[in-house]
Amino acid sequence: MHRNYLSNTVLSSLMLFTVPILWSLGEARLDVYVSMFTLEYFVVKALFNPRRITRDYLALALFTVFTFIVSYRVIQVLAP
Amino acid sequence: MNRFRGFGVSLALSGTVLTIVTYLLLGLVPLVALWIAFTILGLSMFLTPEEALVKADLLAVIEDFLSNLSALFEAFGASSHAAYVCYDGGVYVFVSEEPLSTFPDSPPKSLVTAIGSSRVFVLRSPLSSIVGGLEGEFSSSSYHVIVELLEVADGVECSEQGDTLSCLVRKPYISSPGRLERTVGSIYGMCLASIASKAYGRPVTLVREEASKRGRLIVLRRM
Repeated sequence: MHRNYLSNTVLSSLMLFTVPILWSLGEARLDVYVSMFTLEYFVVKALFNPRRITRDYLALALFTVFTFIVSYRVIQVLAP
Repeated sequence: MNRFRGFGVSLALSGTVLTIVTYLLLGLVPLVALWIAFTILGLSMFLTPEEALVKADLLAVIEDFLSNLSALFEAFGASSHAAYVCYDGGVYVFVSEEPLSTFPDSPPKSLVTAIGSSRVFVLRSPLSSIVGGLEGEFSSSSYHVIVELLEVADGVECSEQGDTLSCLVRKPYISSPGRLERTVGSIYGMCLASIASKAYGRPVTLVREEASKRGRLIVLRRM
């Protein structure tokens, strides 16, 4: 299978296993799910390096959201 | 837009709508997360370019064409050694019966020339236009051209020992005619030798190519 399609297949498998696993653990924070999706996306991107029709704006968007989530959590710890 | 990308758009749009509706009406976080996953997957599918295998077919056409040229070189008795030399205008291949030690300062204007006592055929490398715009070291440029740009292999690993460059092309997609390998080299050999001549600024010869279980081993030598 070409790496472009293999990367999408692996990404879908990872994401669709993540949701029920976290759900079964009782996780109810949306930022945890989104953080996991972001990590999985970048792992797949690093492993397969799939081509994109333009710059990878999806990676940029996910990284931006991940940065906000981490910053928010850090601020919560530092200034509760 | 092909069906794969069209399905990706549908998945992204439906995932977005379901995310908003589920969050506002039900408030079930895991379900919202599932729709977000669908949105991300849909966008990933949409951003995937359409079938790229046509490149392999085009390169196969080029290989067959070059194979005919190789037959011509063999008929003229000048086919054993190929040296790749980078000039300002591009990369040129010098095909000769004996190894060459010197090269002209500018690319010859004719197909057949004499260097020393050897009759030499001079071709412009098929990769000349691609290689001309490359910057960076040999290993990363090789990976970029062969895996990312031309998409004719899964990976390239390069190592250097003195003036010898050994490159392993993992899972090559194109098989090479033997006649082509014996003269100017396979498409992989041509790629790597052209890139090496540009990256190192020195003539590079194609020493040998071997196919193995791990992939295709190509050995180059800087002159």
